[in-house]
Amino acid sequence: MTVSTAKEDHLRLENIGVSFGSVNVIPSLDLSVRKGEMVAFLGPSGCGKTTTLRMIAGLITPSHGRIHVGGRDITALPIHDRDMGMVFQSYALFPHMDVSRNVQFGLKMRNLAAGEIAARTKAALDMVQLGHLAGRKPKELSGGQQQRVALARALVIQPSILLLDEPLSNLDAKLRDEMRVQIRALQQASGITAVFVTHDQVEALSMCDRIVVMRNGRVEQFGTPTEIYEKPATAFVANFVGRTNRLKGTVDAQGNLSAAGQQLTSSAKLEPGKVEVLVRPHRIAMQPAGAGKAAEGGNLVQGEIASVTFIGDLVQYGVRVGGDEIMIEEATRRCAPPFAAGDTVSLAWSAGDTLIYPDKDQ
Amino acid sequence: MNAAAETAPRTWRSGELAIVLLLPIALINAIGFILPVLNLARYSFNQSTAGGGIADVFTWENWTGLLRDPFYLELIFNSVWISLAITLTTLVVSYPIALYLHRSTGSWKTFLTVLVISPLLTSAVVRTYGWIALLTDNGPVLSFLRYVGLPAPSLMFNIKGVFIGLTEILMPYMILALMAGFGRLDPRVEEAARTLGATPSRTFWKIILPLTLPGIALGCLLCFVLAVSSFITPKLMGGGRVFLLATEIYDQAIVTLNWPLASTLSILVLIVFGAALWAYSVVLRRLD
Amino acid sequence: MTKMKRAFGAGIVALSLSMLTAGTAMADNVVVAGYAGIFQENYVKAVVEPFMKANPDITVEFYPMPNSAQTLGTLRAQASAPQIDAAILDVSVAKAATGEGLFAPMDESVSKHIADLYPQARIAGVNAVGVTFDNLVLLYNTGKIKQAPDSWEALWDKTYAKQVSIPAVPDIQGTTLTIIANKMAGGTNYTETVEPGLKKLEALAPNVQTWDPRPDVYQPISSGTASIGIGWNARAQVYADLSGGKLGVVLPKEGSGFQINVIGLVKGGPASESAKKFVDYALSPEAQAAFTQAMFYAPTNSKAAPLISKEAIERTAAGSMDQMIDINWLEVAKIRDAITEQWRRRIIPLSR
Repeated sequence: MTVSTAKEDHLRLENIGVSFGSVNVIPSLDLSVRKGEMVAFLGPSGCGKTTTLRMIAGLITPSHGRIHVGGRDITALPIHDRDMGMVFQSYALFPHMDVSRNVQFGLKMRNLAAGEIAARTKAALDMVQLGHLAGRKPKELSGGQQQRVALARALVIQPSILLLDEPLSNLDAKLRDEMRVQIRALQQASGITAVFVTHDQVEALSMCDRIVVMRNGRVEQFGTPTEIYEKPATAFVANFVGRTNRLKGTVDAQGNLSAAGQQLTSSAKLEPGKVEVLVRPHRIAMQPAGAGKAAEGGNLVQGEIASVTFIGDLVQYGVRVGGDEIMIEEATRRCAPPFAAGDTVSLAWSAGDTLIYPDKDQ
Repeated sequence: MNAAAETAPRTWRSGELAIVLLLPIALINAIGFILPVLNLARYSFNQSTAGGGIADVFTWENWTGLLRDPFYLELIFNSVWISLAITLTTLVVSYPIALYLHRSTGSWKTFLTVLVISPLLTSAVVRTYGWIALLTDNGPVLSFLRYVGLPAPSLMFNIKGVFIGLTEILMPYMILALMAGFGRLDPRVEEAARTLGATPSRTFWKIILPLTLPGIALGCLLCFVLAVSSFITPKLMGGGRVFLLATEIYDQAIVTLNWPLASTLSILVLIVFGAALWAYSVVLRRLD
Repeated sequence: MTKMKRAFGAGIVALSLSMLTAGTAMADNVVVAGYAGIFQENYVKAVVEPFMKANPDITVEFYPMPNSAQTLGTLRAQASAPQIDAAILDVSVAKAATGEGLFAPMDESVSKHIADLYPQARIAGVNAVGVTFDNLVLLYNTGKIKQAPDSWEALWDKTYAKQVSIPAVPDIQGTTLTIIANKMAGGTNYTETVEPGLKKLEALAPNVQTWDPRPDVYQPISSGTASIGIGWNARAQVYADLSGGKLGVVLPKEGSGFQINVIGLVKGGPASESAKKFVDYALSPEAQAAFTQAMFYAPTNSKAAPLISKEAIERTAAGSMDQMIDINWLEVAKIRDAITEQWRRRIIPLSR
């Protein structure tokens, strides 16, 4: 699958692939990242996203294919000549150096003048608001501070690409939210091209210009966050990005769709055969039985509430429809959920929210 | 309050347990180590009489004699210097092996580790005789050197033999100590250095070496102490030409029967060890 | 480490000795300390077993020691409660033991045989009497040296450069060689000066392969690692037989010097009367003859010679007592440190 925009391609992977022993981790990958954009490699662990990132950095030698940066083939360049700024999941700060020496390291390796090193180090530390901790050793810093040092160290060398390998996964939830914003702000301010590896869809959706969803070493979909969320190319993408209901269904020769014992409508193109029907839980409107009304060409089904789960800002209902259970999410607007287990309800959603995929492997 | 009331008796009990558990080793140490050392210290102030007798008088003679006798000054200096040189050589030849072992994985690593440790399962005497067989004037090493037309200096029954033998014998200790210290070596940190533009050699000098210094210090301390106190190898390979503290203590205690002098030398070895330990702690503190 | 081992070893010795004596407290048990290895093997066979046969009420336990120093150390450690009754050790070490009051007096009340001993075996100031005579000999590898040498000068022969094995001082083989070399170089009285001998040894130094042959001097020469060297006659004779003729032994024409092992009674030993009986037997012509026959130590009892086969006597110094340099080991003990110093400063460095 080739996704490419000729205009201002900064990083280009051509037929890149790697095998470890007999395991073909990445069969073949083609990918282009535009200048100044931040692209997420999103996927479950083992999908090859980190391997791809490490091939870009030069830490893994691809078995075949080429890597181009800014029109130049860097496939054969050694790691230290690639000019990549990499932030590791564990931060990988140099434990024997203080903060400012950590940040200086890349500049010293470039044999810059002492004055320039000092100025750029100071600027980088100020950028991440750590100027006051320049003399500390990494072990004397909190996780978030270490993360910022790692970021400053990677950015200070003004690399051609910033590579981020699960940079937020070691932080607690609140700090993660802050750092998401900060990293995105820094990336946009410097206009640097960035590749961001994550297994967390929220990070990918909220921070990145485009997302590559990967699975088993292949690209499932490459698109903007909205495309990925609203028009998932495959059932896997739909399922991996955001929560969704999955129903087994069939399309008969007349093009009628049925699932969970109900006739359903979808704006998707229907091919006869077994299909998977996916509906996002928060796109379903729930009303007391009989009160619900289908929108024009929409779906309306009856069911009985089997479970109610209160999770703060959301309430999740499990509704039994036919032999299946459909999950519905509603924002809590009142202090008590309006429905209880055992209530019969009607569920309504639009044809456009009914996603249909051929039932292949699941 | 509640928590304190709960934890207080527990800590007291564990303190008591610690004493009970430490008592046997403390006793063994007191009887098996501290008392003999004190006894040695006492002997070092006694006087030796001709033929190996000991006169139970208090005298500084052994100490002043030792420090005034150029032979013994040279002996002490040689012991320390040779041990340091052997330690350094052992470090240089062991470091790449330890690093390679640290980085290898799976059954290959297990195999190599066993290979490194296996010499420890053989007595130093046997290994030393192995070296004698290899390095003797008509042995394979010198024969080979002569065959390829290189100078073939005598490697046996002199300091060169002791150097070679001790270095090999100490290598497993050095490798194990280094590997224990390599725990701090996170491969990601090396990768970080590489991505920041450090060539492999600069990564080694700026990152790997500094991070492994604690292991190096430990290995050096261990090997230095073992080198100074090593006796069998210098005795077997030195050909009576290499005078070191350990062999001299043996000669004085067993052959000449000058126990006061042997005791003085033994206490001196303890002082050297104390100095090595002090240097080690200084290095560690500075590394931290 | 070796120190610790030694302390531990001494502990084991004390423990096993006390167990040993406790177990046989009823029978009269005599513990005799002496050299381990082939000395023990031959002494038990030639002396201890016949004695026990003759005295069924006494058992003799031979307690093996690696060297005289260890024996002295053990005697010192047991000074307040001795477990050893009699000890066989080098005469100069015995002198130190006497000085520290570890030995009971030794005179004709212990054994009437003392009167028959050679004068060299009765040493004034030592509470012990000679039980074996040994002497320094020239050793050579018969494969490498076809013509048996007849003089100590063979050691200086440049043909054997880096092939000479010499147990250096402080080992008393080195001391003995110093005295022999002193005589060869025209020195008259070694107690006054050994300077001529030291000068002569300086010339020997470049020929020397090792000054510290291990495990002893006999093995490397038997195996051909070294070609020629010096050693003690008794052991050399035994190893010569064991080596199947590879080790050659020569008493050179210039003569040699004795090494004297003495036997002493430990003061306050647990089985004093029986121990005296054993010492008396050990000095008897029969025991002396039997041990010479077995291991080629020259007898110290002048009446033993006729009981020994001519073949055995020829392999000891007994037939050439007149060629022996009279070494007064008690005098040598006083100059031993000085000789050691000279070796280390002048002789050994010349062989580096």
